[in-house]
Amino acid sequence: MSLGVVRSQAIGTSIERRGTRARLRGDTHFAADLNIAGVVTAVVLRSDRPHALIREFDPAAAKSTPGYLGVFTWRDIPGRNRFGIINKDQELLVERKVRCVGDPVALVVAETEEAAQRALSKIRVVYEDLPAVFDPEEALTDAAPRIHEKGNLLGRRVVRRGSPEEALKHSDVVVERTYTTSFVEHAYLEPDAGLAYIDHNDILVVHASTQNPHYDQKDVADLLGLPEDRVRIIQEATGGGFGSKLDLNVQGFVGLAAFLVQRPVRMVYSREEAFLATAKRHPLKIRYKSGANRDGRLTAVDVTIIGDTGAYASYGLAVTSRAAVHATGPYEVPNVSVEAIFAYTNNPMAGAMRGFGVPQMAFAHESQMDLLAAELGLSPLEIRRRNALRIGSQTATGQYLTASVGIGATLDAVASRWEEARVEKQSTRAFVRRGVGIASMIYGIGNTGMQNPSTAQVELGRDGFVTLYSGAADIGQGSSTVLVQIAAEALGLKPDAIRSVIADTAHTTSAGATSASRQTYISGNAVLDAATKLHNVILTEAAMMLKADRGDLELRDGSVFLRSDPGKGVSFKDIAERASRTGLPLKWQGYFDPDTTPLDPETGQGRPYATYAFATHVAEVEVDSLSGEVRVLKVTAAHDVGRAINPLNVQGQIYSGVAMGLGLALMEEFHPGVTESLKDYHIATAADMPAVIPIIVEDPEPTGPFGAKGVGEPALIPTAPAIANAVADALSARVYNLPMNLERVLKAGISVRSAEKEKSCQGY
Amino acid sequence: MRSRFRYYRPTSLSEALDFLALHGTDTAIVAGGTDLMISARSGDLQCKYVLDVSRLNELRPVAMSDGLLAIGSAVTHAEIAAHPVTRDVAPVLAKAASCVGSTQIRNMGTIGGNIANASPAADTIPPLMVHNAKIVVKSASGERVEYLGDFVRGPYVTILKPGELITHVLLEPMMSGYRHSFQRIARRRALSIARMNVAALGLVDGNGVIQDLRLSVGSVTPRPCRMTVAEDVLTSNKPDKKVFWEAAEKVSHEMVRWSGIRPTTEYKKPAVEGLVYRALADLFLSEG
Ligand SMILES: Cc1cc2nc3c(=O)[nH]c(=O)nc-3n(C[C@H](O)[C@H](O)[C@H](O)COP(=O)(O)OP(=O)(O)OC[C@H]3O[C@@H](n4cnc5c(N)ncnc54)[C@H](O)[C@@H]3O)c2cc1C
Repeated sequence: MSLGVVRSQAIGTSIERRGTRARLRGDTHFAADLNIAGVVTAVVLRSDRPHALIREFDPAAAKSTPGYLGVFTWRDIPGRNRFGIINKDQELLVERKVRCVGDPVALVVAETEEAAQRALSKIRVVYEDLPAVFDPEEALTDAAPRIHEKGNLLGRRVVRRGSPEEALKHSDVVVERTYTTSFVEHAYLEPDAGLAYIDHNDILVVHASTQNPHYDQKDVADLLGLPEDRVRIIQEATGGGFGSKLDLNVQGFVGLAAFLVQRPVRMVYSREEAFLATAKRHPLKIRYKSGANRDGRLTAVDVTIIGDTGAYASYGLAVTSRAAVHATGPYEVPNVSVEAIFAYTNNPMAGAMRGFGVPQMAFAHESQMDLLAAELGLSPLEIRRRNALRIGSQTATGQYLTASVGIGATLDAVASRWEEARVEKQSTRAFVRRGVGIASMIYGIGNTGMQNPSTAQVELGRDGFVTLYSGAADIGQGSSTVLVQIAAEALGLKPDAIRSVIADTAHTTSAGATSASRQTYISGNAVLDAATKLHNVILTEAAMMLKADRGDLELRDGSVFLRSDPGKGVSFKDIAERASRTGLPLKWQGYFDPDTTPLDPETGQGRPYATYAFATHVAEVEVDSLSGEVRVLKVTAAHDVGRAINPLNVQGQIYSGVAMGLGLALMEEFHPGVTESLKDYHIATAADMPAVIPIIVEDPEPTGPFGAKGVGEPALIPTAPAIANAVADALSARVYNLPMNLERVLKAGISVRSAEKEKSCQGY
Repeated sequence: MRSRFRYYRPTSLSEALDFLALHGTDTAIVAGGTDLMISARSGDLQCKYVLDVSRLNELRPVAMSDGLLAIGSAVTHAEIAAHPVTRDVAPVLAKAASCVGSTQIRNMGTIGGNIANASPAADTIPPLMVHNAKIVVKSASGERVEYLGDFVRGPYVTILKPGELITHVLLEPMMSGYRHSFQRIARRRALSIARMNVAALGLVDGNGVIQDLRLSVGSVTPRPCRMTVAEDVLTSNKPDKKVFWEAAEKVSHEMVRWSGIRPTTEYKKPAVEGLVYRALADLFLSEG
């Protein structure tokens, strides 16, 4: 893009992430830290039944609790008691029946948290239990109890091209396996919290820990029967979300309570409540059949995916589609049959979680690739190279890839470590085996086959300072920093010189959700669009003021200079003053919507995403066949991000992705009705972390802002399959179920162990 | 809802015992609080008073007395892991203490709390068993001394009576020439309760024959015990891998005899054999 800007070098530099210092000093205010005069507390009475009718509800005894302010049920909801990001199937407070443990039955408001809990404990609810179903395949049978009126099928997505049945019949090798994954809790550092009040303009203001303020605004307004402009959502500093804070968690409750008691109301989930009441990663059951020919090329895949979305849809449909579309991985597959079927059950709701089903799919397709490689006598690296998508390839949905297809480059980037590690992997201790695994991924940036635009404004103030307005919630991943870097680059400014107003519905317009790794690419483009418009206006004004040719002008550090006479220039401030006198607007709006088409409902063909990120990880592990313990020693992680706007931020995402991927691989399993909190749910600790070698591959995306794509979710996706393949390499036996916990690994390694035992006992 | 109680911090052991004599049945003792606070937070803790013994000097010695190692009940895991005396005469305990929880938990959690809580997975219990540890219990009316194996009656159950507290534990020091090993399995590398754990002490004589072998395994039996069936297989034998496996199988057999076949047995049987093998191999076959 030729903007006539002297490169400010804002792009590709690891400037400090906005807010880092405040966080390190402990100055950052999270939603739970907010306190205003007269604030009261709301708590939720939740169901302890998976499926039951509410027969009686008696709050009388609660009313005498000192500090009691009110108990509210669905009858007190002034608007429409329905919400949900895709399907409006959730009730803020259930009306007739509960559909899972943790369903909200009543909202209790009191002067203090303690009083609220005390009052809550006195409410009497009489349930009539209904038959419940916890398995998605069972839920789809005729005999299953009906969870929602429309039935238990959430949705189905088919992707079909070529003649997969025929192709499999004629393939030299065919491998078929079934894989399962577990419910996974997001376990963000900051449990959900929010505070709401009605301001002096009669606007309901909700401060919240959220990933999607503009969606929150709509659903809260709907629940309360208010016009949207009477609800304002302000995103507070957010300590991680990973998808779960895309749902309306506390926002609706504090909003309703503030509206009903006319006092400021706060609500802070305990860790237990965050575990009980927020979405989980979808457990998938994936039957996967793949064929290949002797030349190592994939011929066809036939995949069936069964998903459990629990009691509510949340982002379930997005996961259905994305899982299906990504089932073939980053490979050319001429013949494809994929069917994804997601069902409601009485389990906790499953929703968006970093990767939207792709981490689960990658576990399956990457295990398949290694199995095929073994059948064909190829190395795992080689089979991936032979099948990797490239420019000119067609994806499973028939989309031609025309640029920025860095999968091959990520394979090349890890190749030397892969080879070395395979040589080095001799074990040092009896019964302890070393293994090396490789896994790749593809990830479509943005929502699947639908519009998901972003907007932004860039304004030159009369004081000569530039302000960026973006609705994009920065949840710790650093979008605020990256968006400022993009604006800075476009305007020849240092990033520090730009102010930003972020994720406040009163002052910013929608940037869409912070999900689907979309903010750098989509909101980045919206910011670039706005900044470019402002840039043009500045140039035009400066040309007039300097009586110069536009082509001779350059923007640098808040002034416009003549290239031919660098001593001559005019400051942004002077330009702003003049513009304000002449009434020329200096706040410009940018817009970007990725170029996609909807998927054909019958065949799944179409252009679901405008661009894709690619990655390959190599994991090195040590497996103790005596105990089933796995230690991950090193992960080499190469990511094609198009262009790293902020390399340190990209590395940060990669480290965190590996940590989360390691948990998914080895230890994270949420058992509905059993798992309560971090005391019985294991995520990786610092001690579990391997050495992580992040490698940034840059294959620029022509439609991306300065070539950028995204990395937030891709960072996690290859880790678990790379570890799975490494464990399989170590044990010469494979685990098909995530997590690969002690029990599963020990079982898989039993023959290695017996052989070693035999060997060790000989010689006597 | 959190538990409500009154908090007392006595300044001497006798004051603590007097308080317990009066209010023993209504009082929960707290030392590091790493177990107690969980039940206080959930509201499961039901008592009028909480008596904090963590700062009583009488409960904090680590010293040899009359040929035994005395460790005060309020000594923390961090202190046990770092103390030169424990490292010298009870290195298997020091090692186990260094595996507890995390730095924060080790800085707060005490050996007395670990024993009184009597979790089958407690990391200090197997090492204490191989040191033939005795628990010294005091009340206003006197003192009694019990072997650890008798003190713990079952998962989370001890013979401690209202009005009593643990003042210290007494260990036979590890004699010179002994080797030691502590092994555990957990779901991750820190902050994880042991799935099972093993402590072993062993002595080999000049002819390379095992003279003494002490083995205790956590999380496989309802009460702490020594695995004498396995110890017998090993003593008077030369350490070799075949014998190790034989001993390991005795342990798993013992586990199944005590607890029967459960869904977890599919894992626990091979795992406990593997862990015992790992301990014995570490004891006799590793360098140093
Ligand atoms: C995150 C976490 C990780 C943990 N990891 C481990 C681990 O890896 N291994 C392990 O073994 N344990 C672990 N624990 C459990 C706990 O830390 C230990 O059991 C610890 O030793 C308890 O000591 P405390 O002083 O904190 O006990 P407290 O919580 O103060 O007390 C525990 C019990 O002992 C009683 N008690 C305490 N002192 C006395 C006394 N002097 N006389 C009589 N009764 C007394 C109390 O009344 C209470 O019933 C962990 C706990 C947490 C929270």
